Amino acid sequence: MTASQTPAEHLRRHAFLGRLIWVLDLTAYAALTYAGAQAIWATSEYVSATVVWAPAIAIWGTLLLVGSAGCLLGRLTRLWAIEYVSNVLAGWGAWLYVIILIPAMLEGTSGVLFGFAVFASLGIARRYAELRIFVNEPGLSGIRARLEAAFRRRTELTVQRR
Amino acid sequence: MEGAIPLLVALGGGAGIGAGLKALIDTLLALRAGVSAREGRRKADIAEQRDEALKRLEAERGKTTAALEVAHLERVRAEWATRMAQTAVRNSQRAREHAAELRILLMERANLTRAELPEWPKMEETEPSPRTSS
Repeated sequence: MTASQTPAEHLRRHAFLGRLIWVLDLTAYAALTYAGAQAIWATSEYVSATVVWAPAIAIWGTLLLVGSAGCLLGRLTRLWAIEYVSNVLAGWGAWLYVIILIPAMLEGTSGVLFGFAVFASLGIARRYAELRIFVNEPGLSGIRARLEAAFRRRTELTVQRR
Repeated sequence: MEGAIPLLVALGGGAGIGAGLKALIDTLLALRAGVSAREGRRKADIAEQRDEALKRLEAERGKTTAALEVAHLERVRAEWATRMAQTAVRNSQRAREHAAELRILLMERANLTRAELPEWPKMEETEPSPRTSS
């Protein structure tokens, strides 16, 4: 809080920034959804030639499209649950795009694009870190912990080291 | 290198779907446990949990400090008691020596024999020290 602001002014400015960030997030996710749609329905020649296998392209495009659309919906409705699952999907889609771009980057033709793709992936990963705070709850075990508990042996008799 | 890309994308796609499923199940488990799905509500809950945990931590720290205070005061009191007891012993020793000198003076100046002098007072019994540590 600066010395020239009253508490009410500071609160209003804080709320305004919160709204601004929300709108920026929505715009960013909208752009990513556009990218996902283009990946499926307007696949570039480079992608078609590099990822030869059509089902792989379909899966990657679906990950991007569904992930970013879900993130957009989740941010719009302020339901972090939707955004968290979609963020995971979109994150994988983004990292797969980085992998797809590696040959072009090595050839020297798409270095800038590669850098931007990495930046976008890291941005999605940062949002993931923020969303983890919502999912975590002390005393709650995720699916991994439950599976481990289900498979663990329950006997008290253990092997003795000699 | 180019030949590996389709394989990587296919594997990555499968892994991405798997990670999405895991995220979905984790989220459903959390929601089932009562976590609120709405951002604002969830943030308020988390802030509340954090404040309550901070308060509990402060209470723990306060308790430890209070216990240390009590222990410190007890130690100070015990040291004072020891010093005073030792002072009392030294004082009584001085008094005894003074009394012995006075007895000698009486015997020399007043020509009294040892049997005529007032008797030495009967001293109290001291106890052996108890076990204060195991």
